Amino acid sequence: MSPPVLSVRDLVVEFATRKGPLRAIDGVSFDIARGEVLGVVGESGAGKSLTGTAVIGLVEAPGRIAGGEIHLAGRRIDTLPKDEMRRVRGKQIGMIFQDPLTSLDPLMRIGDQLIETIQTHTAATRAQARDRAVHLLEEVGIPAAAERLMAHPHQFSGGMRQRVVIALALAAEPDIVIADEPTTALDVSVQAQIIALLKRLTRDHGMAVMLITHDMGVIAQIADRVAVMYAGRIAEIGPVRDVIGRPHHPYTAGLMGSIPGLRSEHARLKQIPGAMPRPGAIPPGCAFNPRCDRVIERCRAERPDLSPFGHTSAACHAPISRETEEAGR
Amino acid sequence: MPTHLIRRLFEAVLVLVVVAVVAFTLFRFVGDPVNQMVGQDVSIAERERLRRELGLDDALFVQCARFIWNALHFDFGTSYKFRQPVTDLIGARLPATLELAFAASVFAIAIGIPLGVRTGIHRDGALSKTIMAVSLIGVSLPTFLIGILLIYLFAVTLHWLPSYGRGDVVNLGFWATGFLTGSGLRALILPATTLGLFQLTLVMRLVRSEMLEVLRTDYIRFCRARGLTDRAIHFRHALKNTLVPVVTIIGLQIGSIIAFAIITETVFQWPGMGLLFIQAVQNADIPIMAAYLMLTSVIFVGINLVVDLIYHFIDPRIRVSGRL
Amino acid sequence: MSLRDDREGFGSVWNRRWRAFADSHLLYSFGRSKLVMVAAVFAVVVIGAALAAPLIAPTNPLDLASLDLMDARIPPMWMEGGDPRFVIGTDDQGRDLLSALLYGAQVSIGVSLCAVGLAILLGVGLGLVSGYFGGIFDTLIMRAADVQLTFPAILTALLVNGAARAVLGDQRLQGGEFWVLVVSIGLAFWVQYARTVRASTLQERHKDYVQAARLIGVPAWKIMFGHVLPNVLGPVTVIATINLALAIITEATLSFLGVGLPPTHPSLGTLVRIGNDFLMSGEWWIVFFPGLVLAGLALSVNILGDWLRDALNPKLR
Ligand SMILES: Nc1ncnc2c1ncn2[C@@H]1O[C@H](COP(=O)(O)OP(=O)(O)OP(=O)(O)O)[C@@H](O)[C@H]1O
Ligand SMILES: [Mg+2]
Repeated sequence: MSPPVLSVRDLVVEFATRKGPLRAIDGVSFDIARGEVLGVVGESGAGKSLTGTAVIGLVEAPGRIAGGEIHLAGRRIDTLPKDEMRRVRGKQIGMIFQDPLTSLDPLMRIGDQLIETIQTHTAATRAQARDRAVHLLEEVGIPAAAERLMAHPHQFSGGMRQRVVIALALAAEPDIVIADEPTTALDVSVQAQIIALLKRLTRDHGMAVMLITHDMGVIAQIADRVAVMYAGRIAEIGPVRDVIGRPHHPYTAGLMGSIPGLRSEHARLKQIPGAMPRPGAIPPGCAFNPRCDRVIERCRAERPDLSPFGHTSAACHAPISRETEEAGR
Repeated sequence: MPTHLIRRLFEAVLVLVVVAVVAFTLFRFVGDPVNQMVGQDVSIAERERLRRELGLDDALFVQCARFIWNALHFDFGTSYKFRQPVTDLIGARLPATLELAFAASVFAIAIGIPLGVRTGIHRDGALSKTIMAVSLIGVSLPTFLIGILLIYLFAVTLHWLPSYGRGDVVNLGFWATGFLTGSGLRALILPATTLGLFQLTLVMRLVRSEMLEVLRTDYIRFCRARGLTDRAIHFRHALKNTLVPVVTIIGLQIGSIIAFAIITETVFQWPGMGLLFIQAVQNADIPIMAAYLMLTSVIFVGINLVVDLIYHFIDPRIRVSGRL
Repeated sequence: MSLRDDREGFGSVWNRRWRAFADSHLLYSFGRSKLVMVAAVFAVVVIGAALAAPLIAPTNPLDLASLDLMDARIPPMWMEGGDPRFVIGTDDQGRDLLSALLYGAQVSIGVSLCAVGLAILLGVGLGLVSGYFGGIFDTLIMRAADVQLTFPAILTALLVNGAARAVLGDQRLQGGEFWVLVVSIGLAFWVQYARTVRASTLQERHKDYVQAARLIGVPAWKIMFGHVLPNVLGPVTVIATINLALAIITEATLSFLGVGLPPTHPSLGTLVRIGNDFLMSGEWWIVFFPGLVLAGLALSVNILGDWLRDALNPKLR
């Protein structure tokens, strides 16, 4: 296996508050291989966006990366000086945000936004950059690309704007793109098109994607692996089929269980009682222990590390194994 | 685009009509125009004749229409105090006020915007905090105190600049300008600074808060995520997006610069409209007050229209939909 | 939501507010910022001294008979020619400047507080009417607000002032200058309150309990105003504080321009106006001390307003 394009080790992100630091990301580790799509799922507030923001170096005060390491293509990037990190952004890591309606500068023609981005990262002349801009727009499926360069963002529909956003993120051919809920704000029919586009782009460019989403359907369609986040930690990570079909962490099982239609028809649709704790109110031991129906003494005392179970890795002292599941029947 | 502008134009005319009616009410009902015009010793018959001559017996609507019609022809009646046509009095003083307001606006904008951008970008820097603290002092110091302070420093103590008047002016037919002589320019420095300082702090604080607002938006985050340089983000994207609200407020500020000129002109005995107006208020010289009210509203409303036009150049969205 | 629940909740709205206040950023940031504390202390001392002027002032500057022109323009006591009777000197009529300053500050603060109070009454009232009744009231009030906003406050104040002079005539104005000032300044500041209250009223108006109250014939506005007012308490306090500084400045400006209070009953602005005439001849103290108090007062109230706005509106931080 080739070395991962992105490697995150024990990432910690904290927010300074008047009551002391608040730990929103607590010891997150994962790798993404070249050309791989890693899905990231979890409840609202689990820290998915924050992880992405930390990777691209855009955590804003009062937040800061308080620990861990981030390596991109073998180079450590979390300690890079500001200006060098800026060069990495866009050139090596791209990022796409949730809302295409607000992601584009409303006052600038999209052609100028593209050309500006291309020229920031390459030595292209304006004419070359313009050609590339047209090419990019064509690639993301915008008809009459050459003419559309002169248009302002408000002249595009939401789906078309998200295509422009993707073109902008791809402008300098980054090795990895972080897509933070790229389809949440779009119509269902448009969502499918954007997902298909992302899928095609990863295949054609060998680009890796960290895809943050609430939509397990999307994960099932396009992701190779998936990470389940809970309260600022990774609960389980592994190949999509295994995490969905054979989860080891009770939280993953609950999450999958509460999404109808993903498991076989006779699977129960169960709700996890309680709510995810907010940063600062996370119990000792396993963050999930107050809501877990498999909780044992150790879960309240000792924080579980990610360890391999079958094909996936889960952070659990009492994982669901096939034996216990069968014994339960 | 035209429908939007036409609507704005219509609204502007409406405001002006309202102001004209207010001015008329002021003129007609605040004090008796005839008593104000003639002395104590004029006979009742004589008064009645004057009353008829002035048309004060006509229906109110007719009087009001005549008042507005006259105003449209720059006829604002005769000053009670000076016994001269108000138009002449104001015409002679308008250039002084406009030149002062112009110099003050240029001063406020040319310094206020860069300072606002700077303090917005480096919001937590020591320099920004100092500038903000000083600006709060600027907002809290009444204009007349600033004027007195400057006079005491630069005129009384240092003898660098004149403490009152306009200096020598060059007469260009309708317009007497102080821009063309050394003494005229020197005389302009202190009043323009006094008048502009307050606006400067306002412009700066506004630009700063708009910058802070814009710097939080998604598209600025996306710009950062694409690795654009700070320079490009701050000046090409952020500053431009602050301009619509900033231009609005600056438009309003120019309006208040003309109003605040009243104070500056009093402190510096600057022979402008403001000085004339304050004398009119002291003497209850209604025709001058009414004329000043209408003239300044024409200026304010005109500025607002120009601001609207400027939007169209800045923001493409307005060009399409007519509104944000 | 039933009406009963709502009524029970009514009294506790204030309770909740208070708890939110105690817990909020407000107290925390107050304790943390030295500047805000200094400003608060300064404002309290000046306002307190001004209100207590008759008790603590060495002389009564309003008593014209006690003035002696021989005492005119004496410098502060620590300077050459100073007189221990007059701590910070005297003005051109031999008035003790310290006493004049205390009485003057009393007038300035009195006018400003009354003017802001008037603006709040007017603005909150019009805002409630505008938001609750809507229709023609709303249109008229909001249009008037738009037109008024086109004009700077100082101009409105001057116009009202000039009109009052013309209507009342100089004789009848005697003694009424205080209230003319209050009205001129109050009328210039109502718009912001009206807009804030109107917006809040519009929001509240569509809630269930208001509709329910209407159905059973309870005067809905009674209940509603009780809910709207706590909601606008924060914003109105902020606007009022910032307006107070503006009102102090506006009063001083009007008095400076000679359309405020008569020289026999000086306010801070009048004292500066008097002193300005003697600045050229080197008698700086007549301008300096009133100017200092005026600027310090406006500044400290502004600082308090800024802090209130930031603390009550954490989003803006
Ligand atoms: N400025 C901040 N101050 C304090 N805490 C913050 C701040 N920004 C984010 N957080 C905390 O960080 C945690 C993670 O937030 P994040 O936006 O990453 O969640 P998410 O998983 O992306 O949720 P969603 O699905 O809603 O997008 C949240 O619990 C939030 O409380
Ligand atoms: Mg998120």
